[in-house]
Amino acid sequence: MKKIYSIVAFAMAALCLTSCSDFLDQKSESEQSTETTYESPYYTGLVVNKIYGLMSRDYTYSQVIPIIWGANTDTELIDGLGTGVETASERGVMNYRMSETFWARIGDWWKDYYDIIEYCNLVISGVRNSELYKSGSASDKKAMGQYLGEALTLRAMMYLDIIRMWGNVPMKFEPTQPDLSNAYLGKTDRDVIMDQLLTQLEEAIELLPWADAATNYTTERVTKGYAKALYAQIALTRAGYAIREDQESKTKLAEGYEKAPYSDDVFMTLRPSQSVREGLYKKAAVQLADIINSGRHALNPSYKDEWYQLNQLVLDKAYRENIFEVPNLHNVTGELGYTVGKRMNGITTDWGYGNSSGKLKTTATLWYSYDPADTRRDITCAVTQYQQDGENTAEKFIGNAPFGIYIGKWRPEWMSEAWLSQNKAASAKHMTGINTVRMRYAQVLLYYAECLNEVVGPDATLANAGTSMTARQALAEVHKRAFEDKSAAQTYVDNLASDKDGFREAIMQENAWELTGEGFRKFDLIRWGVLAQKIANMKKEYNEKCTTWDQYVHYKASSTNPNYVDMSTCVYDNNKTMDGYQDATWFGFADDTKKEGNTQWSTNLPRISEGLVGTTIDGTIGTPVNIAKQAVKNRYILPFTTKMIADANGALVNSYGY
Amino acid sequence: MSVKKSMRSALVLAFLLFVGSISAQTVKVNVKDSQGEPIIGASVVEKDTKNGGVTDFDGNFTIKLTANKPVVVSYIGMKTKTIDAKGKSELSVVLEDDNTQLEEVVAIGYGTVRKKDLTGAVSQVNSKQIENIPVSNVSEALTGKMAGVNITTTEGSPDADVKIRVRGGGSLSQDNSPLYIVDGFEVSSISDIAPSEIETIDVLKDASSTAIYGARGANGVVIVTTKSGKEGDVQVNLNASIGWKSITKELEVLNPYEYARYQYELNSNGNSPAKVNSTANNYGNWSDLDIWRSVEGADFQDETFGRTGVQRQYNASVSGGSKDFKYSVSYAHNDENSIMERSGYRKDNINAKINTKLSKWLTFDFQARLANQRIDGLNGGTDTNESNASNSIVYNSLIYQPIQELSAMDEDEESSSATRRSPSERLRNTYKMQKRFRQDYNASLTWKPFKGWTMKTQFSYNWRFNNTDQVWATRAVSNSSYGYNGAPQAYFLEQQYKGFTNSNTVTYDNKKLFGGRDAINVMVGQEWKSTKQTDRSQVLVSYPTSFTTDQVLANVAAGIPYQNSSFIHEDDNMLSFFGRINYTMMDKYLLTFTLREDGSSKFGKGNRWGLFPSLALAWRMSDEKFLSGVNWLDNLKLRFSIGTAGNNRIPSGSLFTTYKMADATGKHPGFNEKSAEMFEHATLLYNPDLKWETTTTRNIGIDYGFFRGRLNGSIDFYWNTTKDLLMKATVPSSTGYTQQYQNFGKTSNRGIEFTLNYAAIDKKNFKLNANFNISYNKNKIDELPGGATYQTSSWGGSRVNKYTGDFYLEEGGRLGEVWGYQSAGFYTVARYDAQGNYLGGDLVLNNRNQWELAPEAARNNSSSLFGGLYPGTAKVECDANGNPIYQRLGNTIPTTTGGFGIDGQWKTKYGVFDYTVFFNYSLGNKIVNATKLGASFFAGSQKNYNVMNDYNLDNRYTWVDPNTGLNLGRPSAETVAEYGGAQGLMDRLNAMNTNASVWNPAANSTMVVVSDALENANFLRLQNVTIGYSLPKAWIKKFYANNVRIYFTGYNLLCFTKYKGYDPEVDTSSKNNPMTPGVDYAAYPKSRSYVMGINLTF
Repeated sequence: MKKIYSIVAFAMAALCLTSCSDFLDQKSESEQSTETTYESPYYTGLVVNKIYGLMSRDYTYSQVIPIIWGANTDTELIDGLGTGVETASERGVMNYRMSETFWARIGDWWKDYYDIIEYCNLVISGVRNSELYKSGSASDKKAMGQYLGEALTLRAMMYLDIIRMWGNVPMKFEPTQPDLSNAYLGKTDRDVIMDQLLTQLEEAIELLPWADAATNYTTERVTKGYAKALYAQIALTRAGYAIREDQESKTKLAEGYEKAPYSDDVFMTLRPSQSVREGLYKKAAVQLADIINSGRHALNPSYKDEWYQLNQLVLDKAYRENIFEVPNLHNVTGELGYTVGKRMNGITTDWGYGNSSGKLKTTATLWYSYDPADTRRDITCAVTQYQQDGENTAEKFIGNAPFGIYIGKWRPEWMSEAWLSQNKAASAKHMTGINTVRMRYAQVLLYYAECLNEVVGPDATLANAGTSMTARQALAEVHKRAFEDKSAAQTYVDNLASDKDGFREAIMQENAWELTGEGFRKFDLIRWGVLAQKIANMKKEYNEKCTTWDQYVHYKASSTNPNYVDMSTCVYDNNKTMDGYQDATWFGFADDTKKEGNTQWSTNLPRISEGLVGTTIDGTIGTPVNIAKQAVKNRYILPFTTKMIADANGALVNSYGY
Repeated sequence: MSVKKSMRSALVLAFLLFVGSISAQTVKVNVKDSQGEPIIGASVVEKDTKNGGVTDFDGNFTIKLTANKPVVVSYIGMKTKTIDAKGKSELSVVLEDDNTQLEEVVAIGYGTVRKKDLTGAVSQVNSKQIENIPVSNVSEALTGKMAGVNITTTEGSPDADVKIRVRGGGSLSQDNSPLYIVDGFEVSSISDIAPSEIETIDVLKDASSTAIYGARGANGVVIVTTKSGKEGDVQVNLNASIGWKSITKELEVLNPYEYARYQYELNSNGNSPAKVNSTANNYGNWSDLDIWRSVEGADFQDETFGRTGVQRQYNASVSGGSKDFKYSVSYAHNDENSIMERSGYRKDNINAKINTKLSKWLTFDFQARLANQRIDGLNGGTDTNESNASNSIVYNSLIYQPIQELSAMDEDEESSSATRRSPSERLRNTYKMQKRFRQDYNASLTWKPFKGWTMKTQFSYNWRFNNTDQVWATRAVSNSSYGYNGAPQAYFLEQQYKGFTNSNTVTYDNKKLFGGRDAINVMVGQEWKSTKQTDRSQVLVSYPTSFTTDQVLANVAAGIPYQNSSFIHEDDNMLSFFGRINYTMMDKYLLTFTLREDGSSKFGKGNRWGLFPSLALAWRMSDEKFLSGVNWLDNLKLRFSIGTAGNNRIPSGSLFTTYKMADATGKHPGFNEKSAEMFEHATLLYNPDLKWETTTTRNIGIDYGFFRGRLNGSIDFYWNTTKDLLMKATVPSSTGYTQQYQNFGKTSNRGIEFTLNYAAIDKKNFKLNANFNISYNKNKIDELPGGATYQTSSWGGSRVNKYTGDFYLEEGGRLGEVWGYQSAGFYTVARYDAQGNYLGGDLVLNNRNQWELAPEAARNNSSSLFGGLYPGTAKVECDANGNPIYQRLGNTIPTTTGGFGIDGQWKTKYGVFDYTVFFNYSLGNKIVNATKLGASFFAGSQKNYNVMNDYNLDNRYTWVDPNTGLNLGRPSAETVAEYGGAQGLMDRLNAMNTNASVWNPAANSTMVVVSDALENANFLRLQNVTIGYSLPKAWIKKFYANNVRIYFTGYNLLCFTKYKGYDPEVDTSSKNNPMTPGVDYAAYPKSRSYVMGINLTF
């Protein structure tokens, strides 16, 4: 017995001594280190997938950016009207009523963007240090290079969005160091960041393939075309107006920056000098021309089909008008069509579970601005909704809700069979999976038109741009696509002003017609320096025109469904009824007394965007009604929340009078 | 007791067979105890001979003295007496209880020590204290019993976390739970041990005791020893009990009529005189609202928690053995239906132990413990597929609308009636079952090769399965983190743990040093320990919408597999070397020195090893000559100790950036509408420099015993400091992370503990013991480099504006400091006299029909916190510029805790009655009553939710004119006209609200932590009352029973407190963030229970 015991004891001791060092070195078999991850194209691809996954979260491109961030403009309104603008939620914030304590969720958005940036940083540094990338086989190098290009492009995309919402932000192009040496970063001038992004995109453009020119590189990933378009978008933003911090304002002014006509005296709205702008426009034009020349992307000849395919969750492989779409997943991510889109009011037999599409709406003034022949009007503005009427589902007009027109670019009748069968079975919100489009070819054309107009005017060509297309021709492509009668549309374009300023106005107008509801317009208006004025104009226009508008709409039932509306039969006038037609209320008032007794005019209209333009309705920009410490003109920018400031240990401070 | 008795019987029987012839001097010895009860089985031996025997049932033994020597009378647990019997034929002997307090053995880790020789601070609870009171969970039995050990049951659900804190706990952001050792081996929790199996529980509190566990002992050590077989006849114990549980109280919310009136303040119906009586209004038109007075409405608290739970407990044990072989087998069964519908549990435990002497030198012990648990139903707060606690069923049982609105049409997504499900409906559509199976096998070999030398090798192997099955039917899937809302889904998780520990010790013990003057005990040892964990989970979605939870379980394949995932955790390994010297000089001066070195696989190469020494000294003053004359003093010991212990509780993957596959809750990209796999890094920023957190403990204590042990207890003073705290530090979110583990800062805990036991009445037939303990602990954050930080308990999900955080940590401060705003009433309407002189009040209605501060009123910007500026909006304390002051509101950690009680027995000829009454208390803290705060405003656009009854019409500021139904708080132009202009409307609002005492929930669309929500949480709880009755021995002898006891017990019978929530002992947020203790949000309510049962011993 003793012997046995001694042997056991010795064996134990021996086992222990020999295995001591290994025994304490443990690693999960399910976890991969940085070294193994970036030496494998498969694993690297999985990390890149995570970047896209992070882009379909609620606070990024599944909900917040496409639906909320783009509000308010002259044509897009968040669902906070009247007293709703006081709500500490996107309803208040997107009416520009903000303070650092008002809505803590702003910090969650911020966090989600920097999450993505950190993943991009990890991939970029991982690939750059990867032996496989440096000295692997040609195919491995290429694959790893594409991932590098993607991460560079996505990071630039994130930074552009953060800059546009918060102004100057921490610039971090390296993975976070565990010793926190690069954690407490202060703000960097957005111009400095954007200049860097442009340089990085030049590298990314070289690395990335064109859409569908490499396996798996569909328009659901960023490709060469998107990188180029993003390059132009950043260059144009860099060349445009932006509100500046107080000290920065003075410095920039001394550097030759130009002050906007509508600007705060302390926190000035500035843009770079003429020469800097021109340089940027030229560079942007070259990249845009590359896209135009590539043949990889084109306008879908049918504006409707463009949206139909998106709603169907089908990638358009013929035209690839959508240069990059965030890959949302049916049932899991993507709120387009649910939180925004044509309304399904309550549960209906035809469509199933209702949606809550009123988060973002458009205005009657936009509806009236369209040429009646413009196919974009009835696609963009959904003036009807579905609701249950007894045993049948009926399509009804929304009535006199001039600020409550649904965005019809996402609508149930275009959505897929899979969605419909699911929605009929559902008893709760389920994600539509509709991809969030972040760049359309139409934007490329409008950017191109803008660049050329700014440099050479509407009708000249730019040397070295790689194409002989003029600004007017680019605009014409966009405009004409929307019309059946191409020659009439061409006439409209031909009659546009031939001076830069006049033509710029036309581009701004085309932008509203083409892009309303997609979350782009606000940032274009900001860089053009006209956000506040355009909103004030809209309020004035409604005030002046609502008594001239028609009070009623008359329509016939659809030939395929007697409960639905045939939009092509609509007649608008001031008569309550019309023989052979069904009737509904429209946006007009009989006279001033009617409008004054109405909530839309008396309560809602003044308070729209009151945090930016005040409550005036005469076309002047009033004193912003705000809850921040100071009233500041043209303050469209988001504050840092108290938590963001506290977490940064003094590295971040609010400016702009928050 | 029963053990003694059975042994007695055995020995009597043995004796009866052994009766020999009687000759020479014959003495009839009668042995009684101090109460005059005969002692059965006492040994009566002629000194230095083998001549003798044991007493019979009446305490008699007749001894024939052959060697003319004195008689030695002895009995286990009593003081041995030697009596000269010369010339006597009868001898009456009274044996006195040995001072058991001092002779009791206490577990100290890798050994035991007599309480007398203890140098450290140790609290003990023994089986006596547990076995008379049937509890379902060990921790329940300990609450309030031990000074310095604070036990908080965080909520009332069957699987609620029990937070045990020994002397406060030093870590700020880490789990401060103590180390649990069961029969020599570490376990993760003691909740799966049947209380009936427990022999003793020792809690080691100071470093002198805990240092032997080194790295893991920083937060104290709880050592559980289960029952073992004892030499003697077979003994059989049977216990059975049945109990009933019910909710202690319900919280008052608005009744249906009040609710309808409140909803009227929220909607826009009252904006125009024309619409106020339109039938389109949600709860009917104004003039008809009275009909709600006769409507009873749904009481969802009652529907959810209203049932009477039934608990049953059975246990049986068989034990016995010979000198060389002892065994014990026990089985326990517990089941309970808890107060919440569809919740309950079942527990079966088997514990088998054998101890055998293989040879004269070699002993072998083997133990198998099996525990099988099944927990049904939900706990409080969120449950897996809910995005936050405000969506939880528990919370909705409070705020869900008691009546349905008349029309279900609404624009808002959150309040669209189609997505709202009543708590009862959701409960019926939810299935959750946790199955936990645990097996532990311990074997040890003890070898005593030479006198004084003991070598022991112990091996333990454990294997655990934790499986969780969850199914949600259609109506419970509206806020799922997996997506696929609106169709049933299922989640299955399998977790498997395997661990082994091997420890080897060599002990040298010499009690005869320097001729018996001194004694030494030296122990050295080594231990290695390894734990493996594997998780596997499955998520299935999109079952047919008609499926019930049972149908889903029966047809799992009908769903779409959404995500399968697995994770093989890194092995958690530890290698340790340790040693201890106990030196006793002259039986008066005691010294213990302990040293342990631990290496942990959780740290990087340079920081892996931690060395933890400790030293303790004790002086048994009462044994000094100068005190030997003091009659009333029988024990006085002074103890002093200092030492360190460590902490390594950080999750794996904290050292390096690593990537693993994302699970189902991650949002996967949908390339070509297919969910793509992703690799993700840890949520916390890595830190390769992490090292041990170290706690230094200093303790001075006195153990005392007076009046022959009738009054005894101890008093301890301690000062613990913890440095290099393993903190989950906040990092700016622009890093891509929100937190990182870091070693920084220093905290301390200072405190006093006092215990007192007093045998107040010690008569033959009646006994009354009183016990009392109190502990005071004060925590302090001594150093916090990097500055103060705010922590958020995130209790309200999106309901509450998190502002900066509600808890504040700063150097010099304490844990649990709540910050927020000091409530200062609400905005009112400005009043003017006929001349236009300002008379007070805040707001005036401007010409755009919006409220603004009257020019004469003091600046006050409180409304920026609450959403809008209206009369009735809450106000908080503001600075001179009118900006709200963010300030300290109170602390949520009690400073003083303890318990007191009495127990005893009353003997009658009809049997013995025993009784126990025990109170526990906690003082000095506040609790954030977040449940109430969450139900005191309307969050964002959330109409159709109820609020607390505090906001009824008698109390709240109201906007709706009872005469007209018009809303004067958010008036339309028409309303203003109706009142003849702004002034008329303002006068009317003032007249309506002369008695208003709280804000209008309808005026506050966001909420922050305000002082109103911080409630005094002092409490005194009548924790337990037990009355037992043991049948007289004479009656039960016929049934061969030794003891038959029936009893009745009540738990949580009364709680004296000012706290208005369910229960002041609550903590719902520190599970997720230990720096946010003392929040009461959506806690599963506690229950009161009554149990009756029977104990049988054969």
